Amino acid sequence: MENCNMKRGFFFLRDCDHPAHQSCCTCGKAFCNDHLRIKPGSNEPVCLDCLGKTMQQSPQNKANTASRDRYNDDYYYDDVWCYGYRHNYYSSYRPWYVGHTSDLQGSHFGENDIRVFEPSAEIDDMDAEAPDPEANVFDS
Amino acid sequence: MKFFGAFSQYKALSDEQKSFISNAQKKFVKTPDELVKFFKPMAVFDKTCDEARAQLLNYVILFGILSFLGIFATAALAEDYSIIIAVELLMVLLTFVGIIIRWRLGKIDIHNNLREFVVPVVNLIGQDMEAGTKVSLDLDLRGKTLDSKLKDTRKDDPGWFSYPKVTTRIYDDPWFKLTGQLVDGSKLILNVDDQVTRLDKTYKGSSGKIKSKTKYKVKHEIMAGLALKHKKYAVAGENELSVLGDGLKYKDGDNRQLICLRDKIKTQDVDAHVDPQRCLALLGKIFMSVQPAAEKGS
Repeated sequence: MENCNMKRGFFFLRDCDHPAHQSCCTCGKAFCNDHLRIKPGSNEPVCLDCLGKTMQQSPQNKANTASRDRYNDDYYYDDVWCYGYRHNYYSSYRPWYVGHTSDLQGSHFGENDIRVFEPSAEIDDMDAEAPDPEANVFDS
Repeated sequence: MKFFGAFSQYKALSDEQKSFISNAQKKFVKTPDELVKFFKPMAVFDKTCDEARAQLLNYVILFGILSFLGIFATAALAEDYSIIIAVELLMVLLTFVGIIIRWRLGKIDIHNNLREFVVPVVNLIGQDMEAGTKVSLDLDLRGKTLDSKLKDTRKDDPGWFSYPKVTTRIYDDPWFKLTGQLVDGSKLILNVDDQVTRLDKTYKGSSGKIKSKTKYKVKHEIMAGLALKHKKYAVAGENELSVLGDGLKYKDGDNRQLICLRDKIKTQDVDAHVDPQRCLALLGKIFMSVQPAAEKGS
């Protein structure tokens, strides 16, 4: 089964390991359920990237909240906002890609759009402990 | 009538969420997903609440004007006295009902920073964290001009019957503090500290009348810090970091390099929310100024 085509993350792009379930009605690529939403007004699946872009293309005028109403607060306070925002943000930011550049094929991102870590600098000591804000940031 | 929606959304909130709205201050140690799930219904409620209060204000103004006009109508149309009086009373009643409902909604309103800043920032930071990793979030949305936040008061009083008299109060409101660990192992610190200056001025107008006015000056200070691992990132030197401009602080430790950036936003609206994009821009600037550990010098 094909894997989800979404590159998740904001400052750090990673591959999504989940199996794809449905295709986006806008870009046609296959995505997992986490990265799909129902397109407002059409009842079709749309990926977070395409839906986010549509939201960002709406007028940015703060006084005009109609664009946000159109897509429902569910979308604004959801991951969709992050995916839409990163679309614009990457005009001045090159995200780090945690993976192999060969895996970028078929994604929205090319080798020039991203930065990669050297293989020797792999993440090797992650801890999922709750951070202590009082602790010295240099400790570990 | 949006206030029906606002009250039903408030009713649907959990006890913990209602308690947060009334206290508006809490320290959380949760995953970003859990936090967004916790805040989202409150954010939706807060938006509806603000819309309902704006709508009610319009109704109160409308009914108030109609009540005022009703007094003249009563006098002019003395023949239909009873109907006019009934309509007049209805308008006055609706005006008061509108004021009371608006006041009740104001009591359960929470600062817009929750929905406009906290939810987007926590959501976005969560995109770059391993599933299950917790963040520490210290929130204080009680208000910027509480007595407990008053840092300094200065009075400029020239004496009895002498004007202008100016009282300056300075408040410090560190309302947002988030710490966590990103997917690359970097430690993240985000702080927002608002400094509010309230100026109460009593002065003599050109007609000789004594007038008073209150003015606010608000300075939002955003601090974004990243403690980057030497294993992942090359230590950035003064030259590389100088592009980050004013507000930069950095320190090198045994395992990490800490880079902090500050941004200041000035406004005169004490209820203004902070734009999350200003905060995320600081993090982006820091990440753009560093290089992977093995790449530097190659």
